[in-house]
Amino acid sequence: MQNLIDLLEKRQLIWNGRHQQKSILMESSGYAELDAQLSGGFPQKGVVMLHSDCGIGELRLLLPSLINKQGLCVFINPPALLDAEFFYHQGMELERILLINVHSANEALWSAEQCLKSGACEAVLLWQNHLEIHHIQRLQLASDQGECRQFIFRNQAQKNISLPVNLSLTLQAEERGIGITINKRKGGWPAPKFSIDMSTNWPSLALHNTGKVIPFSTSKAAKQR
Amino acid sequence: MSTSTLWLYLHFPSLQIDSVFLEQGHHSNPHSSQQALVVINGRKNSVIQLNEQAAEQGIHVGMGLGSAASLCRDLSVQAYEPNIEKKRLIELSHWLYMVTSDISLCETNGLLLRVSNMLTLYDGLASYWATLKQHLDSQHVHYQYSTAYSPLAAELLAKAGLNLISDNHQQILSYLKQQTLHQSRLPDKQITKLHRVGIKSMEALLAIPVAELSKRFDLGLVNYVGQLNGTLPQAVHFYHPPKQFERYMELLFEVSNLQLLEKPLLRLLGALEDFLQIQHHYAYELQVILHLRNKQQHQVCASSAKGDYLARVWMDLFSLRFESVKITSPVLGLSLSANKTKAKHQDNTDLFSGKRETRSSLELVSILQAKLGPEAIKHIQLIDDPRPEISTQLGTYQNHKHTNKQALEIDSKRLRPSLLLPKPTLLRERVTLIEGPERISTGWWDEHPVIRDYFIARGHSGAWLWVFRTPEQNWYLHGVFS
Repeated sequence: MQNLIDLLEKRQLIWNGRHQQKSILMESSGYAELDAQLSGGFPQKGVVMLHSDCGIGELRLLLPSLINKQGLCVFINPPALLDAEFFYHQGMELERILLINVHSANEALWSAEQCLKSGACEAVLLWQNHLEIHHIQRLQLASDQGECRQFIFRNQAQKNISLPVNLSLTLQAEERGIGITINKRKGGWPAPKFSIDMSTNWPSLALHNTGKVIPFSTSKAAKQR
Repeated sequence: MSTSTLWLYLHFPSLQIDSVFLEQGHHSNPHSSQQALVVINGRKNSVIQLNEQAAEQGIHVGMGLGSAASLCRDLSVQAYEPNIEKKRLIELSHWLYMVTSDISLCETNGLLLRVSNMLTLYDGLASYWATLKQHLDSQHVHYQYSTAYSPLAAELLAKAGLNLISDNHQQILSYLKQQTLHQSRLPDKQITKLHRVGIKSMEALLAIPVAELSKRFDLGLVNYVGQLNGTLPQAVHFYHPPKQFERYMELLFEVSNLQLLEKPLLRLLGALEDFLQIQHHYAYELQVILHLRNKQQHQVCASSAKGDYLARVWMDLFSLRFESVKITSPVLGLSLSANKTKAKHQDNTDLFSGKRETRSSLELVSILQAKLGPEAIKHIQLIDDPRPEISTQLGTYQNHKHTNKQALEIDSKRLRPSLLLPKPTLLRERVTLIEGPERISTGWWDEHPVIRDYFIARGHSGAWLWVFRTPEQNWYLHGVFS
C-alpha cells in the first residue's frame, strides 16, 4: 500500500492538500472580462497558446499587455508584414519590435528559445502550427529563465493533442469582439465560452447595427441596376 | 649622450616553433606536447631551432638532419620560414608596445628596446623589467635578454644567453669582455685576421684604443668596436604599430571539420581580447579568413551590435556562423582581423530593476544574426507617406534609427490593419463592407502612383480585412486587422 502511494507520488499523480501550489503571478490583459475569467489575466511567464483564425482580433487581444513595457516584443514568422503605423498609433515604441522571418520550423523555435532566455524581451509571439511536447517544454524552461511570456498562434484544427502549456485558449469571431473558450489553465479549471466586447476600443471593427450593413453582393447589384 | 642610453635586447631563439600552433597544452607551456620538433635550415640542412622534447633526445642546434633523425625516431621536421618569424616578431612588438615605447625590430628574431626613456615611468629598471617580463610571458615564447649601453653590446650579450638586467657599467663591461670573438657579428675572415695578431678574445679587442685599431684594420672593424662600446652612434629605426588588430595562424594539420577550428580560433580571439582590453576598446565586427588548401580563401564575418572584447562571446558567435559555412577543401591556416573597434562605452543598466537580464537586446540581436543571417532579423520603421506599403519600412537592426515622433504628423484617427500583406492580392472571397471608403490618391510624382478606395470588410468566417478598389473596379486584399 505504502509503496503504491510512493509510486503515485513520484509520478505526481497524487495531489496533497497541504502542498499549496505556488500561485502563478498574473498580469492584467487589459480586458476586464478576460481578467475575471483567468483570475487576474495572462500569466507573467510561461507558454500561452491561442487557437485562432487569422484576422479575428487575436493580436488586438494581446496588444494591451504588450504596450507600455520595457523589453522587446519579438514577432516570429507572422503570417504577413507588420504595419508600423498601426503599432505607432497604439502607443507601442517601434524600437521595441523585432521581426524574425525564418524558413524552417526548427529555426523559428530556436530563435524563440534564445529570445525567451535572453531576459531582454517582454514577450515572444510565434506563429507555428506544428508543435510537439518537447518543444513546449523547452520554451517553458526558457520562459522561466528569462521571465518572458511566450504566445503561440495556431490553427483551430490543430488542437487535438494536449500540450504542456500554461494556458490554452480558443478564439472565435463574434459580432462585437471575440468569443473565448478556455481549453486548459494551470492552477484553474477550464471554462465555458464567454465573450469579450472589443467594440469600445475598436468601434470600426464591430458590427453595431446589423440593419445598416449592406452586403457586398447587393451593393454591387444595386450599382449595376 | 649615447653612452648613457641603456638598451635591452630580446632574442627569441625558437620563434618559429613557438609561433606554430601546438594543439596540446598550449595554455601553460607550448612545448608540453609529446612530439619532438625541429626547424631545419634548408641550405645547410642543419637544425637551427628545436623544442624541449627534441633537446631531451640529445638533439642540439647545428646538428645535421641525418644525425637528428637517428637520435629521435618520430621527429617532426619543418623548413625554416623567415616570414613566419617576421610576422610573429611584429606581433610581439605590438604586444610590447603596450608597456614600452621605443621598439626596434632586428630581423628576424630579435627586438631592441630603448630602456632609458621608460625608467622615469616605471620607477627604476627592476620594476620596468618585472612589468615587461610579465607581459612577455603571456605570449608563450622562449627568449634570452640582456641590457647594455649600446645596441650591439646588448645583442651580443642576449644572444650569448646571459639574461642580464643591470645598469652597472662595470658589470656589463666585464661580461662583455668574457665573450669570444666568434659570438660577435664580425665576419670569419676578420676573426682569423685578429687571431693572427694575437687578439683572441673580446677583452683583448676592447683593450686596444680605437685610434690604434684604425691604423691596422679596416673601417668595418673600427665601426664595430666603436658601436660596441658606445662611442660611435648606431642608427636605430623605431617601429610604431598600427592600431588595427590583424593576426595569422598557421595550423600544423589540415582541418576539414570546422568545429576543430574552435581551439585555434579561441587562441586568436584570446590575443584579440588582450589587445582590446589594453586599448580599452570594443570590437563590433570581426573577420576570419580561412586559408584553404586549394589556394582559395573563405571569409567569415561576425558582428556584435553591442560590441564586445571577450573571446568567449565572440567564440559563441563564430561557432554559430561556422554552422552554416561550407568549405571546398581543408583549412591550412586562419587569420583574424578586427574591422570595427571603438572606445568602450558605459553600460547603464539598473542593478535593482526587477528583471535580471542575462543578455542585452543588442547582444540578443547579434546572436540571432550570427545564426540566421542578418537579413532574417528586421525592425520596422515608420515613414510619413500615405501609401501603406511605403509608410512601413523594414530595416536590418544595424542601421537602426529612432523614429522621430515630432517629425511625424500622422492622423491618429486613421485605422490601419496590424498585418499588412507584402503585396496586395486579388480578393477571392465574399466579404461584407463595414466602413469606408478612405481614398488614397497619391504618388504621381515618383513612378508609384496609387489611386485606391480602402474599405474595412468582414470575411465570411468573421475575419476583419482591409480591402481596396482600384479605378478599374478590381478588388484587392491588402491587410488583416488581426
